[in-house]
Amino acid sequence: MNVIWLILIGISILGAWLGGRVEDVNVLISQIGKDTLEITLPMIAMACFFNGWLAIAERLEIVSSLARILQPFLKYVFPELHGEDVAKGYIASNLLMNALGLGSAATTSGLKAMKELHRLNHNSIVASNSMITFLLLNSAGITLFSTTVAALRIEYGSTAPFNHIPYAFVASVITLVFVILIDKWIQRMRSSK
Amino acid sequence: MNGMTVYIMSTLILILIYLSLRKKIPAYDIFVSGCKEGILLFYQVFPALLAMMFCIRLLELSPFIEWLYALCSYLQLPISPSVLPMFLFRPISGSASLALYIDILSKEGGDSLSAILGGAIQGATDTTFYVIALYYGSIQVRKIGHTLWLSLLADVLAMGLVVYFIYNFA
Repeated sequence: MNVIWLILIGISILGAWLGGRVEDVNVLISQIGKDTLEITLPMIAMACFFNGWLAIAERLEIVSSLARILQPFLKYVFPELHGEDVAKGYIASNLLMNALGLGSAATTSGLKAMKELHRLNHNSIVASNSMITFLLLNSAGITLFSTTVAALRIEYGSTAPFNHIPYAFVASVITLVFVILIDKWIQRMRSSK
Repeated sequence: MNGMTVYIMSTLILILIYLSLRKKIPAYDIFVSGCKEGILLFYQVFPALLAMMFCIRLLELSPFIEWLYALCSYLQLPISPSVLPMFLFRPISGSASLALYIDILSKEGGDSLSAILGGAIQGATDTTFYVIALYYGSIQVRKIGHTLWLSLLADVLAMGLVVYFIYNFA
């Protein structure tokens, strides 16, 4: 990332020189901080607002009740975690909070889940099947309330700031099913060696 | 159908209020502390976003963007060329894809096809490299098996599906 960033900036500035837009570069340098702040502040304000409500929902145990609903799904996807309710609890928590747009809380649960899976895997430096599957579930990214995106769209005049969600949802569900099946197949190939 | 959906947000809030009163939880305090999490988000997001916005705006001042646009019209891609970089950067960097998305919004508006497409990409995928590095790094696991390539496949598949759906149903 570091190298890419520096190179991109470097060639852009040189490109701007060639294109005779050196003045614009100066204007950009003086304005970029303010511009970015103007964009980010309303977005964060919205995120704060939504987060407040989601925190209430979480305290109301809505998250844990929903987590219970996920149990049958988790039983199928993580058969080797049979009986390991602590791990499954953290996993469910992580997936739900990602779906609700609570990114930072989701990461906390996710890291706790990994620690627990690591412990169950005898602290090996090799990833266990559960870990791989868990990360795949994260990658497939089922999201129900992308608050950041919605906040930004509202800021830029959207009248239907959530209408991207159905497309994202269906696409990620299909992806999830497909990828989990491949994962299971690979694991079966591995264990039959 | 449109008449009904107008009531959704207020209804959700009313439900939360009812449940909070019934279970006697300190909703106001929780709301406020939940908001503080948002400030934390700002602290984490703004610096990276600033770096990426600077980079992108600079790129736009260079002739390279013109070349990219020309290439897109030559290939007659139905996707607005400003969305293309999002496909590339989404698995790599969350702040890069966010900055790109903001850029798209500022140019094409919050309700444009690109806004929906970009928003769906943000929703259907995740920052694969970062997540893998973070999660495995936290437990010092080195051998990750098929995690990376299968996750990237998931990203590509999800993005492809999003494009397909939006162009056929939006």
